[in-house]
Amino acid sequence: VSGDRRYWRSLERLRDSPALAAEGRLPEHLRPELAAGADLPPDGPTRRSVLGLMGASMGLAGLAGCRRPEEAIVPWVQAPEDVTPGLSRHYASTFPLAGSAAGVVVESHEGRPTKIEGNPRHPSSGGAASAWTQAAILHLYDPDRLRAPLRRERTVADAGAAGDAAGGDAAPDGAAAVPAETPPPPAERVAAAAAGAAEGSWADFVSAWGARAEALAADGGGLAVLAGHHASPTLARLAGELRRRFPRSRWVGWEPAGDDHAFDALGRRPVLHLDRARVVVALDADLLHTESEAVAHARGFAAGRRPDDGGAMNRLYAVEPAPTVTGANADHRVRLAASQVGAFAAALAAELGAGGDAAGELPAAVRRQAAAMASDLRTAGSAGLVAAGRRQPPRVHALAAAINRALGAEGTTVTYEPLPDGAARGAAAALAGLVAAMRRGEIDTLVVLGTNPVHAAPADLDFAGALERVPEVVQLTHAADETSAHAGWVLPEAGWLEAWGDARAAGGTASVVQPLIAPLFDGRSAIELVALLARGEEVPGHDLVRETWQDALGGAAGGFETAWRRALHAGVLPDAAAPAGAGAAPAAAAPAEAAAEEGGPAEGGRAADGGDPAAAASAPEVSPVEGAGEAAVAGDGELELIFALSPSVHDGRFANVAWLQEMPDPVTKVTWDNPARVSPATAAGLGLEDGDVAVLGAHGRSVELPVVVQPGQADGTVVVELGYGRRAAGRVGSGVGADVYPLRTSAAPWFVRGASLAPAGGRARLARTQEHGSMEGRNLVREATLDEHRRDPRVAAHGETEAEAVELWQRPELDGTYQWGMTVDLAACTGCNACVVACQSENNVPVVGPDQVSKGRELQWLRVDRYYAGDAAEPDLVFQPVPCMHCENAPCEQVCPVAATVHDAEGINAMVYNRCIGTRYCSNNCPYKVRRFNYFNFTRETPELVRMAMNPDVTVRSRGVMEKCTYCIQRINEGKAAAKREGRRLADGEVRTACQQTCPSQAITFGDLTDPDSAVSRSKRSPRNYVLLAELHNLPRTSYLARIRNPNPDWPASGGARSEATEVAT
Amino acid sequence: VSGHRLRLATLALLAVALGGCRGCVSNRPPIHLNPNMDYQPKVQAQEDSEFFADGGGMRHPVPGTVALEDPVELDAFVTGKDAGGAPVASVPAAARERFGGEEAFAARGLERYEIYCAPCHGSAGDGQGMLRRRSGVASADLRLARLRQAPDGHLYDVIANGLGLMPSYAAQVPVADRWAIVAHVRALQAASPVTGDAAAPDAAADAVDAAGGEAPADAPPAAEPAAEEGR
Repeated sequence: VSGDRRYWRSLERLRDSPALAAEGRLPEHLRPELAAGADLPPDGPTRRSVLGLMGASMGLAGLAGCRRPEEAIVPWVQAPEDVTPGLSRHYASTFPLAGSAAGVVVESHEGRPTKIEGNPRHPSSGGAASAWTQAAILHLYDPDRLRAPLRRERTVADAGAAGDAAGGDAAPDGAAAVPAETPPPPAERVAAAAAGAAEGSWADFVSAWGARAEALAADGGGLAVLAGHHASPTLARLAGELRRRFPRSRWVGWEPAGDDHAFDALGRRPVLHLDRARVVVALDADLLHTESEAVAHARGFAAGRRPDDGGAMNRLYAVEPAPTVTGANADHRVRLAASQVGAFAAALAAELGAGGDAAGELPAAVRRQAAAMASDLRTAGSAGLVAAGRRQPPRVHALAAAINRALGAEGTTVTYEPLPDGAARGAAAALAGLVAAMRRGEIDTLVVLGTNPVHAAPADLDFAGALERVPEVVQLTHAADETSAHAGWVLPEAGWLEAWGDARAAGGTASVVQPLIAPLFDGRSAIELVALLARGEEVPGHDLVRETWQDALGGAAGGFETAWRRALHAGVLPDAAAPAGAGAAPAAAAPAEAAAEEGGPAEGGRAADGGDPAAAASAPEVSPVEGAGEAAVAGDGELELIFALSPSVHDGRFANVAWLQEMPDPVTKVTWDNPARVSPATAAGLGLEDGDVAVLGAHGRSVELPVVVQPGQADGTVVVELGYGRRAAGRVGSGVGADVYPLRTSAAPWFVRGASLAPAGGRARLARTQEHGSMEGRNLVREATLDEHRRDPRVAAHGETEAEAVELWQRPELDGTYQWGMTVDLAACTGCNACVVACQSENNVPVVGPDQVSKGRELQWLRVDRYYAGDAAEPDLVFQPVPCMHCENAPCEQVCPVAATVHDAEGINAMVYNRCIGTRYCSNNCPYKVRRFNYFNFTRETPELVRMAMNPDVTVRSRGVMEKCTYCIQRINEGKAAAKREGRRLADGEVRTACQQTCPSQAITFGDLTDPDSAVSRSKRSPRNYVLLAELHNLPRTSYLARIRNPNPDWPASGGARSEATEVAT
Repeated sequence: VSGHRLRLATLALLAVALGGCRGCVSNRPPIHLNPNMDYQPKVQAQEDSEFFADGGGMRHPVPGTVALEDPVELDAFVTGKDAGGAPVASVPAAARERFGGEEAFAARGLERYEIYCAPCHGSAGDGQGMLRRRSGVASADLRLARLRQAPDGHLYDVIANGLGLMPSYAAQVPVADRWAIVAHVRALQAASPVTGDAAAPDAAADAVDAAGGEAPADAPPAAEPAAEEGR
């Protein structure tokens, strides 16, 4: 596989370039390096989007003038114990996200959090952190956060008019209930979220709530709380208190893109243990990236993929409509429309005797593939695992659970834990019920906790319209958003870095949320607000969380205080600890008992006939929305519209986080946008080309957005990411991309047939990093199959041109105590981008904005190259992270006229920023294209708040300066200083680069090459080790371990013959 | 006019303009033409910040939080108190182990004592430090019989939490160093004659400590240095 395979980066490369040129359009890689106008400074809206990205123009006092700015030294008046100014400290805490929880360690500089890493003791993170987790730093210092409570007088629509409203029924069923073409609220109205309201205070709110609580019916019948999913035992306990005070109040836990379908089907939370699995089948599940617990999955997956020394190799199958990170890492990928995955699951179940219906509408080729998969699973037995994604309807989850049970995998590769405290079955129905009650005027007071239903609720519910009939709306929110424009009280939320809390991870481990800083603004946490609602007075969050754990920890040896302190220090609570009164374990049906789930009218007679024969009789506790998510019809179009959770902005909640907006999508490499993805064949059929603007229509509504032609996607499908097109996200996220929530209904939350996509005329300029830093088709990614590797371990290194021993220039003297080096294991790398954000956070890498990205000026030091291999319809995907190679014979150093880039004695190719005069010769001479240039002063207008997100140990670069990966030299120096103080040598693994530290699959190894036993030395001895462009004799210190695939020898070839034309590459 | 002459004239003008500043007095900050990343938009240790009301970028850790660098167990080594809350009698063994032996422990104690304690209490522990001599502010005589009898944990507690006029030194002196200082104070006591608790200036100073507040109005804040030297 390795030697003769062609790798390509984009369809333009694959196609005949002259043909494109004849059409008058040069392919991207043949266009001039600099676009027209590239030398002009940004102006107008572009300037705003570039320089104002991070915030208002606070500027640095004095920088504009030529006088030295006056600076003050402000010491502590009363210095805290154990804090040495200039030395960082670290706190264990927990990052809660939509019902899951990741243990983190947060670095703090003089009491300000600056960097987030994973907590090795926490099972959900294992020391790694996702891009979302790490970007929480920038989210904390978001200058658009709500700074004080806002009060607005609202006029309430007559409740009697409720009946007129469209979609007034409890469970609107499909397109019929959708109000036609409701215009989105005008931007001015959203802007008024802040402007039209008077500033209030928490004291005002407390007294207002006192009056409100009196006015509520004695049983609280008119009170409702709408919250996201959470896993906080304290919040659950306080919600119970609130219910005791107002017995008829309702609490609706709802996530726009949560795990509802799994919860509905199983009544429990499935926890996957990929480390114990030998054969994994992902049914439309992006297990390694965007599904819940992806970090733990990636770690487990990579642990089972260490091909050296006869190590175990698992096998991953992915069945999915459009390529995801999981599909790219799969050994076999089946492209299938989301609506057909159910049939696939049924076929799989039938093969394995777990119920299901083999006679689905699957093409014969796909059925053969299902059979091959089933036989592989059967061989694996209890080491097999079938996982269904959140997009799939409950029926598929039930089938997956039935298959796992049939395999005997229950208890090994999958275990079932109670639902998160804040989640329940039937969330979608509960939301619909709440909206219906709002319309009927039954809700006097709605409390919205940290969620944004006006933006994200299913369009058919018309949540904004329903809100107009609620007399009092209280919202606790990070920043004024779309929902805030409708709320009477908009209260600032103290986020998890500012307030006490707790959370239970999927596996059951509980941990405490430790605040790193006092609330930056006048905020309260969700638990503090709920306690206030329940008790009528403010109680500090610290007390509330300790109350919860008092009983559980009180019995421990040494008493509560000792146990509590240990828990705070370790970041996890003892395993046995269960909080009192949290009601953590709902009496849920065993997963397979719920297997006989579902089967709405829309299923077209393909209802599961009872997964487990024994379980077929028992009924589920809660019935989800009928027919949710399958085969609903949105119109008379021919396409299947599929929604995806954005790996960048999640469901929209992180839209104002610039790091995430600029993080390229792993597969499409698009930044700052959510294009509609279609397969090459579908695009051709629709007359669309990559970059065209198109109108996407469903449910009688339409959205205009650019098109990306995605190799490997199922034909006839359109995939769009949720969360973009926010109208009131803030200065970074507002108006970025297109809002596709209007196309999403409660009947079809994840995919729907009958959508249409038509050219709208015009082209969009996508800010896409796909072609940037291209290395012109050389043999850069190497891979082999496991068999090839077993036969000849050096197979991946073959094809390497022998390095010529001719030295073009004198080598630097490398006589340092340590010699640093790095390896990147392509067999482990999943391409998830966590390293990119880690590097950005650690090294103060500026965000440049879409306009600059489209000119190739992104500054991320670490890029993850994505290559396709093979046929355009069904390509394989490979990821390759590329940081600076730290060549010993560094070409960049030889051409710098001012010695701004030089070698140090430890083998690091260092940048001396203030020597750099910006010739860019070094970048021109770099064969790996890893150097980044500051075309503008991207950091000059950094607002005061965002300055605090900067790492004080790293220079914030200015205009005209070249920069690149430094192997996190500040960490090396910090470690060396600490070792020197203690008079010892650095131990292996003591200094870790930011990318290495955060990698969920531990693909990156870094350390001292002079120590033959160091992890990196051992890694470099792997037969898979190779360097990029060895023929240049640059002697890079960063090397790669070739990827090993583990294909099934009995895999049937896919249906379509591979076209000869598409095999021609570059 | 040739470009050459114009350039010469410009140079001359520039020389006058720049040279003219020499010797002038200005209260404005110096001219700094090339910013050169000397002032970066980040918050370094002890830097000011416009965001916080107190004007400083440094924040206190949130009360109740525990950092990874903090001790896990609040045992006698950290608090100086036993399980019942009474001061421990002697320096915990863990303190000596921290420095790898008695010798290093003693050396550390002497060094830290000279830095943090001697300015007030004097190198000999007689309460005659520079503060006493310069300003007359009283400091306790560490050789008092009462302090000889006090448990080690009491001395540790005073270093950590302060007493009377003496502020807490917890921020400056880490836990192990506090014990080293306690041991050094014990060495000073062993090497010097017992001073009576009744001695007037020391009693006054100790009364300040014992009262835990302001010096009693009737007690003289300090005796004449000469008189003390004569004693």
